[in-house]
Amino acid sequence: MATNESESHPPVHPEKKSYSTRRDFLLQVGAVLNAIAGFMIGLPLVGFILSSLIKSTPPVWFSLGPVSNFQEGAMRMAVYENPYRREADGQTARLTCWVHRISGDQFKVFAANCTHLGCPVRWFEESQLFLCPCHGGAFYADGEHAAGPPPRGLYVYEHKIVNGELQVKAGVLPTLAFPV
Amino acid sequence: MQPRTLYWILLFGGLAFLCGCDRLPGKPKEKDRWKPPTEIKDFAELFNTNCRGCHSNGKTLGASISMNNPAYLAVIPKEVMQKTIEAGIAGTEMPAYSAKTGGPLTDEQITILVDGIYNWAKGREAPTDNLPPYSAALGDVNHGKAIFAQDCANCHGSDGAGLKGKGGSVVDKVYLSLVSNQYLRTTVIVGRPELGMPSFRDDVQGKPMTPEEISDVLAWLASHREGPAPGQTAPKGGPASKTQTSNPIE
Amino acid sequence: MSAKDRPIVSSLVNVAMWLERRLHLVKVWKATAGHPIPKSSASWFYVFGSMTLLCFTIQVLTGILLALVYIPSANEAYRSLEYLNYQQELGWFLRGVHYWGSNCMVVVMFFHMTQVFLWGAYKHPRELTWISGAVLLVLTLALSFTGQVMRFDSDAYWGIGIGAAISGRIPIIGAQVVNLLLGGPIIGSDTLSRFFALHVFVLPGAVIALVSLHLRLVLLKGINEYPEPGVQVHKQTYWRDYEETVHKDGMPFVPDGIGKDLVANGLLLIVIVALAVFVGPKGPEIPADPAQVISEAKPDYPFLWLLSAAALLPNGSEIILFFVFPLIAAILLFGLPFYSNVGEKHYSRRPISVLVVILTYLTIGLLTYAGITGPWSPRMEAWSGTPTKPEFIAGRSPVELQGALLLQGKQCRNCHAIGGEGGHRGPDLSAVGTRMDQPELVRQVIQGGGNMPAYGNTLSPQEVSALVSYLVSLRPQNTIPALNPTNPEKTERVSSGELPKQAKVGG
Repeated sequence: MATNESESHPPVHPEKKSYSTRRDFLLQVGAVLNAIAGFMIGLPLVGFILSSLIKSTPPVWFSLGPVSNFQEGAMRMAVYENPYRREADGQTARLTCWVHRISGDQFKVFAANCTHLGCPVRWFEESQLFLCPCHGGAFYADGEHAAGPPPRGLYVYEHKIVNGELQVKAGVLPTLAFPV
Repeated sequence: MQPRTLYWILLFGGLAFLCGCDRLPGKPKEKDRWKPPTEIKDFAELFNTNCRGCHSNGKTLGASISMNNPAYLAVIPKEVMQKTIEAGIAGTEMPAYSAKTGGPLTDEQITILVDGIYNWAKGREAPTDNLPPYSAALGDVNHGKAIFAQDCANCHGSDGAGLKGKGGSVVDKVYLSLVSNQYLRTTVIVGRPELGMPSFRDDVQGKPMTPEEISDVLAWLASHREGPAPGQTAPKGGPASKTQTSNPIE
Repeated sequence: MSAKDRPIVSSLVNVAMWLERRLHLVKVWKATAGHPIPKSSASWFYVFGSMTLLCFTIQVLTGILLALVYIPSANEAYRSLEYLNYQQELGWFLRGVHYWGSNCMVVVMFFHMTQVFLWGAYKHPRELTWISGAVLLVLTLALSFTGQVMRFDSDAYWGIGIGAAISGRIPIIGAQVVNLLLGGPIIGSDTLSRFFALHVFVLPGAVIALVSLHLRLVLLKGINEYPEPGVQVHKQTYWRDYEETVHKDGMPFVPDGIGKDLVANGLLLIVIVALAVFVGPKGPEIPADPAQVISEAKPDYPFLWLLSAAALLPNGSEIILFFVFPLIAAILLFGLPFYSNVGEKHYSRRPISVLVVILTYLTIGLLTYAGITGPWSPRMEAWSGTPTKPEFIAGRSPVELQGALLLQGKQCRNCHAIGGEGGHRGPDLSAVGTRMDQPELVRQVIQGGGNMPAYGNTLSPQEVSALVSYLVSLRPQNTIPALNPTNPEKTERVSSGELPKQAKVGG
């Protein structure tokens, strides 16, 4: 068959131009068609990949429980459920923050993520310091930078008291680009 | 032996080696499995993580009272130790360990600690005759001064200010501002054998201190607290303190 | 006995001949495994490439088997790893081989690259071979990092957190990059799933594609002849000379050139199995539970040097470490075959290249060692758990002992060692009394500074007094305390000949 084709080529030479035009036409139609189809399938794919960006997930208000749960003058770790949690999250949905009830209705709520590289800071009651286990960043009780490589003080969550419950605005991993 | 037989032996031997042998060092052991800190039930591990920093276990030294001291374990009631671990001692470096007060240990773990500590005295209990009570009110200051000069001066000097190369000052206002009367009393009763300080029995050979004498010495020691204790504040001439506003937690 | 007498043999031969006629196997063989190579390149130094490929093959095989049991869900991953470790027959062995195979792959690949670099194999006309290899290095490191996330414990969890914190430093689009990395606003099941997809589909697929290209280039552009000092690469003549060498003095890679590769690969395989059997798999350690704030978040070996660099570089230089440095490294790495295209190949004539290799190995080696010991990480349990050696307790006065107690109770030990025990974030205090005098120590404790927090508001004046009196007492026997020339009282005392002596009784 292949030999047939090559042998029959010379006789159709006069017609080559129109034949070639038809091929070019089909090529162009095919290319355009595939571009459109590719766009139709590609755009949703890109949209899928970027969906978490497109869907707005701002920090939201939620309760950390009644104010009376927090002893006056004490720093306590509060564990809360990620407001954007899914069932498959398991225990990663249990997020933490440090709550300082300074006195009465005066609170300060810190993210547990160190401002250097995001490791979990831990409160030491005796020395009144937050220490980061990774590179030894230290913060005072009011969240200010005390020592080590962190570029700023701890991230502070907004809070308010509604019906005797402490509410904070959180749900997004705090980073330097998004310091809550 | 034919080479083929050898291959089969190698193959099955290798498989048996891999499947059957549980003693391969790389195989994770059940004891290496992570468990939450609240699940740790081993006394030694609990003591070594939570107590050993300050309290001797008999093998190490600690700045505070040794826990592996039969004389101490004879005099301190079990409930007091339990309570102390749970709630700590306010104003001292003994923190509260109970999870109920934000500490790391469960009630069960604290019981394991207390039982384990008392187990150290098993089989070598200190004599309980003439044992003074764990706690008592302060006695007579002047009589205490005389008793001190008689029983303690050998190391601490008759004025309590310490003797070079022997015992240090026990009337230092800074020292007294940091320790409770109970701490002083316990130390007088059980001594610091690991550091060379004898117990109430052996201050003077063959003549143990009586409960009254102990209370009197305590009263004399406590009387040195009067007046302000000198302490170091920010030195003059240095750059301004850059500390943050104080935290009201006490 | 001829084949005709043995019907089975003759029918097998017939099948083979039929396959040959359809698939042209002999031709394929000659063009691939049997391709001619210069005799000089059958060297012990040329075995690392095939070793890397062996590691990758092991990773694919063990990876597929592990995927039979592993559940890529934030809720289940940890439990399925425990199941592999403790219940699944030989699960621990597979995990061990996969873990050590990955570490070996990074190391062997690094050796391969070093050899290619030192032997000048990247020069004309093998630029693309080098570039595809450099891409493979990046892909392998990405596989290693994503694989570490599969071990969904707290190291993995906070490792992602570190990745997010680094991404969050990107100017302008930082928040968006973090969101894309996590697959949402926070670390959760979507995060693990996307790292899983990268680890088992995207990255291995890319590696297979790149390895194919890499090997294709080896066949097209030949394997580097063993370089000789003084022989220059010229664009006009190199290829002609190479083809001539191969034609005149070449030999087929299989079977003549593969012997050393086989030996090296066999040994490597034994090493990997031995590591799996004797050292075992890593973790899983603390579960990925954000409420367990006891994590140190240490990455696996291939990334420890990066962690060390982040800890050791001056504060604020992170942007250089994480963005400028990789950019420069990438330009140097990918640009190498172009700015060093011709000329000498032999390392003895390329001193700068040798220096670069030595410096790179020293840097990465030392940083990795520093990463293993991690002196900048506070020891979070030291204050309550690390005892003090007898010589630092015995012979102290009561007030000094109270100071020693404060040193524990106020968590100083988490950062300061005494007698080498404790944290190493701050200086060891064993002999601090010989370095600083009492007023200096008071100032340091109260005001902090030099990477130490200020304790002026945490400690009472009496506590400072006791603590400092203990610190002053910390000096070896027969040494004099620190003397401060600005402290007239002491200078006078020394000049009058009376050295303050404070004998310490050793335990």
